Amino acid sequence: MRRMKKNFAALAVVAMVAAACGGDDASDTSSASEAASEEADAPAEEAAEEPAEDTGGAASEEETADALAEASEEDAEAAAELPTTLEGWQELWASERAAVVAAAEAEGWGLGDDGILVGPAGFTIDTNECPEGWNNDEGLDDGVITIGVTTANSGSLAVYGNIYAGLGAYFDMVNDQGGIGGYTFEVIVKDDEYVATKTIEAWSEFFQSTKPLVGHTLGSPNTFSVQPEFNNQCVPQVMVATGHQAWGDPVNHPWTTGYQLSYASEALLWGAWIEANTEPGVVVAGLVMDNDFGLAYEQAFKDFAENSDHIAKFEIVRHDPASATLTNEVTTLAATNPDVFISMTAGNPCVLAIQEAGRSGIIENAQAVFTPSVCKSIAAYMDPAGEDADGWYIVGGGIKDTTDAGYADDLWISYANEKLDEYGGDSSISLQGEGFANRGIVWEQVLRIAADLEGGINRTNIMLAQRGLLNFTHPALLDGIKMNLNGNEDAYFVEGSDISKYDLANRTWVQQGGTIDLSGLSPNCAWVPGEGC
Amino acid sequence: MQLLLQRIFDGVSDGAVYASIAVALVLIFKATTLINFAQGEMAMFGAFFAYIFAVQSGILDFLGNQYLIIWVAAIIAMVLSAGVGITIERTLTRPFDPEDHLPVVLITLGLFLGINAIAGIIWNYQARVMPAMFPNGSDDKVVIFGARLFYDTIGTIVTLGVVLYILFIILNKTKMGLAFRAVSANVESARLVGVRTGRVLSFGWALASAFGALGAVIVAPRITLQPSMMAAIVIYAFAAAAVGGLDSVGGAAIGGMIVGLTKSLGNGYLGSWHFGLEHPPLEFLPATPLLIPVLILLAVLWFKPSGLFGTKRIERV
Repeated sequence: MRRMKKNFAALAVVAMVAAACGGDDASDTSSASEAASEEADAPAEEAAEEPAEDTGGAASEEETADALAEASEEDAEAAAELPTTLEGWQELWASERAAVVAAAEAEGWGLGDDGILVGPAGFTIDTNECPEGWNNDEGLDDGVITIGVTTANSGSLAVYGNIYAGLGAYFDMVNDQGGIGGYTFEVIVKDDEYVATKTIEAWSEFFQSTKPLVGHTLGSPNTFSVQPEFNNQCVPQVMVATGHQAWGDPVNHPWTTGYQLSYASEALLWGAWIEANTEPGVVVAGLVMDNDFGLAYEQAFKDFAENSDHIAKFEIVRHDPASATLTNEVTTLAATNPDVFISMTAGNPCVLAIQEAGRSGIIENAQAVFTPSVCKSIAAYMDPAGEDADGWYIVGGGIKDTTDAGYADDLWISYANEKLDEYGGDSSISLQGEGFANRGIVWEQVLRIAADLEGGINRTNIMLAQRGLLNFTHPALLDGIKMNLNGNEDAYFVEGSDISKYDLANRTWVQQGGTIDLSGLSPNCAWVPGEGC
Repeated sequence: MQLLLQRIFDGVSDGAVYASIAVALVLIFKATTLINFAQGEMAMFGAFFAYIFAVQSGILDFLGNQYLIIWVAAIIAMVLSAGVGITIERTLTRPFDPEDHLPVVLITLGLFLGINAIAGIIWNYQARVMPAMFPNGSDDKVVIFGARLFYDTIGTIVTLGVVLYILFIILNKTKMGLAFRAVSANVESARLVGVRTGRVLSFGWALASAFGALGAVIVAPRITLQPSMMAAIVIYAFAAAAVGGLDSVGGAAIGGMIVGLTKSLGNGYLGSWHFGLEHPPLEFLPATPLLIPVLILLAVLWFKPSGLFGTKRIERV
């Protein structure tokens, strides 16, 4: 019995030390956060004297403030003329695809005989540097294209696995409709539990056995962990599900593309909103998930706060991504009497942050409380948060949540929800809607462009289709936000956003002012761990 | 003073949660001298039983009396969970030699993964709104010297106290309790004197499963109802059980409070304690909340391996 107890004790201690030490982050994150923390306490006056620096991954502070001011004066209802039927949308997308293909033909983009892929705005990839035996058509066997995905399908962030249930349903629909370019698609998902070391293991298996044509990763630490391997292996790491600013680096990591509004842009918009809507001298409290994801927010907002004479103090408390509760962390922040509270977290902690902010009195006393764009899903995060969810602000990245009652009559959202249910998904689950309505349509557009380029669907054409996706009108983004990349000049698909406020009674995000347009303003970001862009 | 009091309330609140699961761990350990690694997942399943009865069945919408319905649902969940516990004991653990711990430990690890995956398939990982057993809104609190003590914390502690009392009665004043303690002390001797050890082991699993489910129903509104809800909590519960003593029900409860309080106070104060330096050298503590319970666990096991309230075993050579 006693031996049993000792054995258990040793096992428990080892397990808990391992858990305490974490392991989700890219290797240099801790030093980055420590360095950033040291800078955080610098007096605001000293910081204010330093000139504001433009960092990669987001527009400048001035541009952001101007765009916000401009949007604030607009009417949220003002919208460009968009198709009113599904057929109309299909025609619009077809014309946008044709424009990309025509530009490629006119400009001579594509993989040359010399093995160099040439794309728009100076974008190049020298495939001669790919590993021996690299095959541009790998994963195209038997008319079925395999798409490898790693995501959290278990653990504290398992809810994100739903995105790929939705994406899988989308490809089932595409397959039913005849596929693309003569191919059907299979999405193979491996569970990494949001643990970077498991992402590495999963991709090691993918690269050695399944050998998918393209890959996709979810999560900042996870994407960091395999980004070098993707680029060394010359495998497209397509439209990763994370908004870290590091994915906007087409020169050094040409095989990796991001997707959503960068966390740096989001942080600057928080700052610009705070400056425009609160009294000077505000104390801002940030609850930060302690990994590359949360630290990207933290660092970007800290840079902003240091250059702002409006923000008196930026208080930070980090939390373990696997925390069961956030009570202690939020109590610490509540003790600073924040005027503005910003949740910089993801997954289930989105809900906990809202609830704890309510219980600690932060909501009651603060001028504004923000939840991050990754917590926009109503069914996943706002519903479970209960009454405390009312009145939260969000820099929403322009995304229409498929469970938002405000979009119940939206042509694309209602169609997507119907089709999602038809193809085995569940439209009541926000993130399945995200995978289907938001991501699926862009995958389809990229693959159709690649199919129409010379050589058809292959790895280089998929990269070219993304880097040259100059102007895609996305039906699940708010009117006025286009999706576009432009080679080495514009490395961020989405650079616009809404600022919205949650209306609990009507289960909807109510847009405050017009859509903020920062398109093409974010410089590339050659990310250096510990230093930033 | 206000902040200190608030941190104490926070610690007690978290501690009550850890204690409720730690008690279930200890019950299994007392019956089998084994740690049930699937205890948290079994409890989560129990919480979903309550959710099905209270919410998915439509009863809550129909009758509208939240507290009555969720309490009834909790009792139903406890009964169903007890049945699951008995089934697991009869089908998965009883075929193995009780003296050989390794296979059964591996089974509980397998159950941990299996139950989580099954729950994910059935209910998905999207968080659900679990009706609370106690008023749990932001206004449902008493304010003491500026610190907020919520009704659900008080309710959890009172429920924990009632559970401990019921367990005390069951284990010390009933025939089955006597048999349970006999099996706990020595399975072979208990069998030799005529105790039907199989039934007693089933009883232990049933009891642990039922009270574990109750704990999960209580905490679900605070941490959201979803298949991964117990993953982090059960780690603290392990620490609580080991600190209190793996064979002490009351010790598990006190261990839970110790873990909750040290986590709250340690993270809150040590993380911002400057030690005369320019920056807090321990400011990483809030991001590594397991560190303090681990250090306490190490200290307790170093000086008192049987835990603070565990029985010191003496074996004859």
